[in-house]
Amino acid sequence: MPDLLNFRNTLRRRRSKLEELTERIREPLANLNPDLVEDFLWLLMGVMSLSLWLDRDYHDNIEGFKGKYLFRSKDKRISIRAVFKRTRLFGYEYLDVDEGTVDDPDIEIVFKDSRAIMNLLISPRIDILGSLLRNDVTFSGNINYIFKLGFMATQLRQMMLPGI
Amino acid sequence: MSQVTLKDLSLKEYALEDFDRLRRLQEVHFQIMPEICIERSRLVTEYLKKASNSDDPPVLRQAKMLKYLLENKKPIIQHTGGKVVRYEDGDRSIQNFSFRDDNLLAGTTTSKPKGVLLYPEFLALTMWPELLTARDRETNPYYISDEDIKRLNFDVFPYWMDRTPLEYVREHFDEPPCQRLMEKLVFFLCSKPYCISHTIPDYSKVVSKGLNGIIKEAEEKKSGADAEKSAFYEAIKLVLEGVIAYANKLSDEATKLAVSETDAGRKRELKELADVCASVPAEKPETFREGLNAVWICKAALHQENANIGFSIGRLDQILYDLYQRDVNSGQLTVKEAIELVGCLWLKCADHVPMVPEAAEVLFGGTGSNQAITVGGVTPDGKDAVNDLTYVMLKATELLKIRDPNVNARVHVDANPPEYLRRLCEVNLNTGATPSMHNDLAAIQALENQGIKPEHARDYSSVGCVEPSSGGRTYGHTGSVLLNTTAALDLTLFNGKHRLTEEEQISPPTGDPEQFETFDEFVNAFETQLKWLLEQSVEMNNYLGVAHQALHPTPLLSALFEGPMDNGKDVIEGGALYNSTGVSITGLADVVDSISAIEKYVYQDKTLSMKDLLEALKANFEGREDLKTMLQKKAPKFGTEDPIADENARRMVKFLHDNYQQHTNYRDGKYTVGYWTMTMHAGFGMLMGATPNGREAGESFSSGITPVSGATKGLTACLNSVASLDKHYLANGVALNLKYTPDADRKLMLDSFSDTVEAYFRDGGIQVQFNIITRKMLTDIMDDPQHAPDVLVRVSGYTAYFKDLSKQMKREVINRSEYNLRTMEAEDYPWV
Repeated sequence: MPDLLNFRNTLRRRRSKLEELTERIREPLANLNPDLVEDFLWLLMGVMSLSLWLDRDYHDNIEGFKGKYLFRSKDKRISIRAVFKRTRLFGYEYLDVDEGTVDDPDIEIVFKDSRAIMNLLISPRIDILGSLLRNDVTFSGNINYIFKLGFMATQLRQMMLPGI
Repeated sequence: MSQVTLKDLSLKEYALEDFDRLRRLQEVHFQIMPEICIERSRLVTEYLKKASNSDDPPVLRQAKMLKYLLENKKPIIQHTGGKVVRYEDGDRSIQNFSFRDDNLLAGTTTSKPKGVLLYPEFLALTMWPELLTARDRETNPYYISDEDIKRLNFDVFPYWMDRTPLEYVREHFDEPPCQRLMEKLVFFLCSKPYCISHTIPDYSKVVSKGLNGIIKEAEEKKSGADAEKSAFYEAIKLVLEGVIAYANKLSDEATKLAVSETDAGRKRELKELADVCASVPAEKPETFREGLNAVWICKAALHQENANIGFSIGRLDQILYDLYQRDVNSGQLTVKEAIELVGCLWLKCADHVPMVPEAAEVLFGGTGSNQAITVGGVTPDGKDAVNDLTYVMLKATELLKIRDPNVNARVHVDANPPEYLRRLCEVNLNTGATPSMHNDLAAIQALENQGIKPEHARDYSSVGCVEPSSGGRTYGHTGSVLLNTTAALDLTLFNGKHRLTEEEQISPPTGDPEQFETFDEFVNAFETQLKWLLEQSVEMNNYLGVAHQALHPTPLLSALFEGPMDNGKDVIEGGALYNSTGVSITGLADVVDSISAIEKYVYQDKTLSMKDLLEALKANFEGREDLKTMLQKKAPKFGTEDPIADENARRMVKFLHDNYQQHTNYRDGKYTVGYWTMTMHAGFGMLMGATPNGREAGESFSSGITPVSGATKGLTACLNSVASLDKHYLANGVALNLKYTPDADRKLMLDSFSDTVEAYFRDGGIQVQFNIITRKMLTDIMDDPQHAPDVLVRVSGYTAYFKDLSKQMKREVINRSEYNLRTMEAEDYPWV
């Protein structure tokens, strides 16, 4: 069999392990009560927030960065804000994540439903444009803020799941 | 009187094996993988962060930035190595690859042998989430070093987050509804967030005056000019000085390399290169080689100013013919040397690829830069323009079979000799996909109808894919708007809603189609939706135009254009001699067939209710296979000379033309309409539900102006239907894609091929392009991309390597109607 196909099969095998795992949890998660989906989204953003405190290199991503993100479902039952701020005392940047809305977000990301949130968050690859193309996600505001967050999420995933 | 002196127009005595340099460099081109080049991004950002004087008017700010960029751009005479992807035992690795680069032209668009040029001021930020995975992409991976990822992530991209044209529009026009509509990606796309490009600079100025000549002109105009014009002329002077500085650095580099070179032949070439770059493009070229190098250096510099998407070259066989003829007559140049030099330029044009994020591969996968070169046709005074250099360029195209440049041949069936058309068909047979052919009789009339002077219309060239434009005179941005007309059909069928966006009321309601009593009511609703949609596209394009005026004037392009020097203003401000905006339509044949099916079955025969049809569409014909088969096989189809379908096609083409022409752009130019779709017909198709012509959800639409695959049974009827459309409504060009079954009898094939093109052109067809390849070959490559990685296909306008296309696009190319030139009938293949 040609080498390229071999490679693709190997890559697919590696990814399929992750996909299998994510597929197993995606469906139950997608059917979760919106409150639990909101908790899950909060948890993931919380992991990012924590990593920014713990990993100096990772924190470099937000040096001097201010950004206000609002994630919500179309029916507004799920709403999480993620705001990049600076501590007053030492001027150290951090990510503040909480339930609820925020005034004048730089970007408001609206998911069609719980399933759309899970499709984007629980995927081996974070496919922002694909989600937009499928209309799983719509947005209002500056999409470059999503791209920046997308880089940070990919980096975090690579830190936590190296090799995939 | 003919300018052709060659005895053998096919130049059969030359094979690729006779050109060791071209053969080696072609091999390298196919082997190396694209690498993201951050040089330009870094320099542009660095300059604007630290050195930009905020009091400068936009044109002067951009000029200073470009001059800085060109003065600091690495001068590359020869690459020494690149990256290749290797596969071994199921593992993939990216390895270094050394090669000898002895291209006879100096200068590069990027610092990499096959570079992905990033424009952070436009859409490069879409690559941001993919930087860490770009090397591992399954399709079209890009190499980027960890160091470069860091630089982009920390130093470059953050600066641009709020400074792109899209964000300018969002901020200054309060995120208008048309922007939100465009960002849903299924209704229309504007390309200005990425670039303007899609135009042709006037390279004849470089050849006739040299850049110093243009600088002198700018200095003369500057004295006595008002402040605004004075800034513009100063900007011209600065950018041209930047180009000359870059050429001088190339000359120095070539001299340095010559000193250390041990091979006597290469040492001589390097010394010659040093001399060439010391002279051109500052001064006007005196030899063919200097002419080619002058054009290339200016082209490489123009790419630093403006992204290369359809940034085209024009009529190079006309622009350089005098230099070619002079050198050949004086014995300084042989035909073989000329082929080699032209081949070197073709390879240089392929030294970069556009940046396409992984998800956008669905919409634009496999695209090259679509830089069109045009050969043949008639002179500005209407005489046969085909010359020896035309055939030299065709030979280089035939030998190299590479994606860029996109070679377009003009054909004037009365003025050009028949052997020229036959030769174009022969090159198509040998390359399988190029050049595309344009009908001078029709294209010139279409341009004249847009107010282009006859002598300028006769001097047209092709832009990007297929768009006719008076090169160096018309600033047309021919790829400004990509409109999905099937979205308007959806809005009609679902009363202002779209199946992808579900319950959201997208457009004003035009009524429940189940209540329409006549076909006229239905068509009126459709035209209302279509008009609304095209107005949204116009509004968005104009907002983006204003953003470009504030953010991205292009003084270098303006210096190489007719008009800005006289008017004292940049092309973005309307300085060019002619101004227009080009629209490309997706879905013509599918919409026409859908409307025709509705006309016949719902309103004429009354054998199908609108309610049943809508239910079947919503269910994607599940349980209604009988209806799907009827709509596919029996309904009226464009491309079959069916009177209902042809009438609906003529009406729609006229409607789009009339309504777009009612609008003016931000430069006070008209909107022109064309029918070429690149890969958008596959991308938009993936997003759309089932349609009333029997097409299932997610399937590709028909490409360009081509009838729906499988709808046409005979080639003649297909050509007659397309040629019957009024050329005056097709001023932004068309792409008619035809696939021919290769035949062992080459004479028969050539006879039939050239006769068919001539008949189609005499009937009024504007353009046609071909794929001549067996279906088996394509399905083999689909299964195993390594099977034949260099197979070239015509997509819808441009050429692409088949292996690089998305799966959807590959299927579309395979499923295209394939005609047998013996029988003139379509082959009956099952779909894949």
